[in-house]
Amino acid sequence: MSTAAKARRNTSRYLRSQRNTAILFLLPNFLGFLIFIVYPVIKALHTSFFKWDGLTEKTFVGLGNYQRLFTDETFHISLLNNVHFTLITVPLSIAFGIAIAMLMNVKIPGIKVFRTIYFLPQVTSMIAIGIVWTTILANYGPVNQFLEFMGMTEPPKWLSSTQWALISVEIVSIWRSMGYNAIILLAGLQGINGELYEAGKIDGANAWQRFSKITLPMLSPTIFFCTIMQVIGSFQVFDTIMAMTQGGPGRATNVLTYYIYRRAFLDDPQLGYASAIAYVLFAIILVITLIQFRGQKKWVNY
Amino acid sequence: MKRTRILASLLAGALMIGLAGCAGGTQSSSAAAPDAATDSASDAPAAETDTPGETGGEAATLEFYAWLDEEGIFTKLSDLYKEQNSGVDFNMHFVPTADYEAKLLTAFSGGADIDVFAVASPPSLAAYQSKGAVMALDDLIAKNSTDTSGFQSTFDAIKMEDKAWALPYKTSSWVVYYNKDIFDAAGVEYPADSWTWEEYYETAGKLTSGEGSGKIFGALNYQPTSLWWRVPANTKRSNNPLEPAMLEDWLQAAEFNLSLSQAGYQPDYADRADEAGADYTGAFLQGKYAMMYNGDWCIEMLNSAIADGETLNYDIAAIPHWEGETPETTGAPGLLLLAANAKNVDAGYGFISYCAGAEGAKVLVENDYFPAWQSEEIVAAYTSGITTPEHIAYIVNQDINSQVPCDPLYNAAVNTVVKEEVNLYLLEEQDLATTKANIERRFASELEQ
Repeated sequence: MSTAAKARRNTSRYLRSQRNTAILFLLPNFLGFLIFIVYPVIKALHTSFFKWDGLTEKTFVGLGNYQRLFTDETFHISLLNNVHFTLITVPLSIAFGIAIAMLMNVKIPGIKVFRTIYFLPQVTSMIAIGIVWTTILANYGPVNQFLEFMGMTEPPKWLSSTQWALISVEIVSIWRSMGYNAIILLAGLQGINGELYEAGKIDGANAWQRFSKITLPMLSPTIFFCTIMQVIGSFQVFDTIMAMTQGGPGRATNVLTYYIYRRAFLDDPQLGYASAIAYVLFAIILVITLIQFRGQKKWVNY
Repeated sequence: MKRTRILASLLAGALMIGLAGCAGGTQSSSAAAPDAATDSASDAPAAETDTPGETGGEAATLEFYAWLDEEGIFTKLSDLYKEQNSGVDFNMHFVPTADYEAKLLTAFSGGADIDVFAVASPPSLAAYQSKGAVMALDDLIAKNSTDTSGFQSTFDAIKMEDKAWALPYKTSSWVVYYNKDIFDAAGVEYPADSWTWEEYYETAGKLTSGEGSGKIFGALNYQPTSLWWRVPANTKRSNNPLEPAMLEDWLQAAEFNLSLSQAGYQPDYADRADEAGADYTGAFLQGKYAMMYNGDWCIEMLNSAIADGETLNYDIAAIPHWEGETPETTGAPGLLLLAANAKNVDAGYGFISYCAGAEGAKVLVENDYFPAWQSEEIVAAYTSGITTPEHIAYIVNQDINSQVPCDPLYNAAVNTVVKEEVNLYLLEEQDLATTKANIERRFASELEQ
């Protein structure tokens, strides 16, 4: 009895000291998280109920900032652009990602070079990408010269028409993110047991059937992960817009993050209103992500 | 044990004080080392003008904020000022130009010590003034009997509530740059002393020739992301589209530029708007554009490109005026302000009145700045020794009216609403009436009054 109790006390003392060590190790990280993430997030919520230019006294306006969103046409335009952007870029960048991943999932010499090439846009500065792509898509740039050569008399004004500007930005975003998706999906592909394909072949499944009945279901957790990341990323798109169009022409490529930035820091700073928009954006992303997690049961196989 | 610890901390403290003393020593000694070139230039005629804002040896360290483009000039000015006022020292903060306003705002709201700061244009002054961040200068001007005559009309243009809140230290001045070779080839006479926008339009037409990639355009007034299409409106003192009559002038200026494009005399806005890294001097140096209106800063840019081996035979002419209006030009003054809660008011005022006044103007002019302080001496210094462009005097011999108003809402109004809507007009996606209606509607709904 006494030895057992002693042993237990020793263990608990050991555990306690271990726990203290763990807390000490976690503390710096946790403090950083509290100070630089939790505090600003709460502070922004607080600010969103005030009218504040960053300099003079805040005035409490209750839900005024949120009410204002209903009549702010730039907010509506930005939100619609965001939705458009997400609906186009997310499916396409994942579809292209799957296609590239399958192309790269072969054992030929030099394939690693291609994997690197497809991943390069992800590690390249967006500003550099923006400059290169604005040159490529210029009215007399290589793309339009090619289109004219192919017989098109009036090629699109990619970045200088409201009709095409958002699509141009979407093209660049897809181009940029598909390689990243491809690498993640490739890892997923390589985790699929080869025996499944063998069994499929023996049962007489053709290539399409093997893709749709084996590859896609087996890949679905990876696709799910990519979708979540892409949707969140696409609602937060900022650098592409900043580097390529600054929201223009007109407001054709204005998106919420860019609008938040402009409202908060440029010209006539309205930090309270900008915080309110930020919280709405947060709510949108949260709801969509929750819906996705709910919906995954229907199509994701673990 | 306890005693040794106390002793150790005492020792450490003493060591730190010693180190701090050393640091202070090196700082002041480096400050005292005069720059030979600037020194010789500033001492000769300086004796007759009284040193403004004598600080009388009062020790003060001025916290100074400006954007990075101004680092060279303010470092020079502060060094010279330190030589004359031994008690004054500086803590210079230079912020990357694009982030300047945001950083300044953060510094103010974070309660940072700010004594003196610079802003690039009157609307910024108005914005800070409306937020109570700026100190009125009238008492200081009276106390130091500062001479403000050299600022001419600019000084009154930047007054608000009948008070002076800033001293202008530099200004810009718009002229027309033209490529003499294109004029010669087309057999067109160089612009006269005074001309109208209608004449500018006709001249542009005469200078336009060729097709496709070899086409010579008569004019180039668009710069992507800028609002330079409005400058014709500025030449008739319309600087604030928030006022309905002036908005009409701005739209007229946009229409003027669009008509130049539609006639083929200048490139389409769409073709300029998306040229990656498009820059006006680069385009002008290609020799494909006969004329462009632009600010005085282009002279330095063009001349250094020529010095680097580019070939361009250019001159400048007065900016045109509208039929029936007085010929005068436009420009935006750069301003020096005292923070409302400045700790070193007298020393701060001493410094800004030095920079903006006659003495500072000399330093500015020597460093290729165009000072807001105008005098015959400055005009002579500005134009002397410059052979290119031949008619450099046009920069300085005209009245300059501020092309930006002292209106805190101006930047928000212009950089979002006006810019976005007029862009669509220049891209021919909406007509002038829609543009105007959209601007008015958005002014009412988006700007907080």
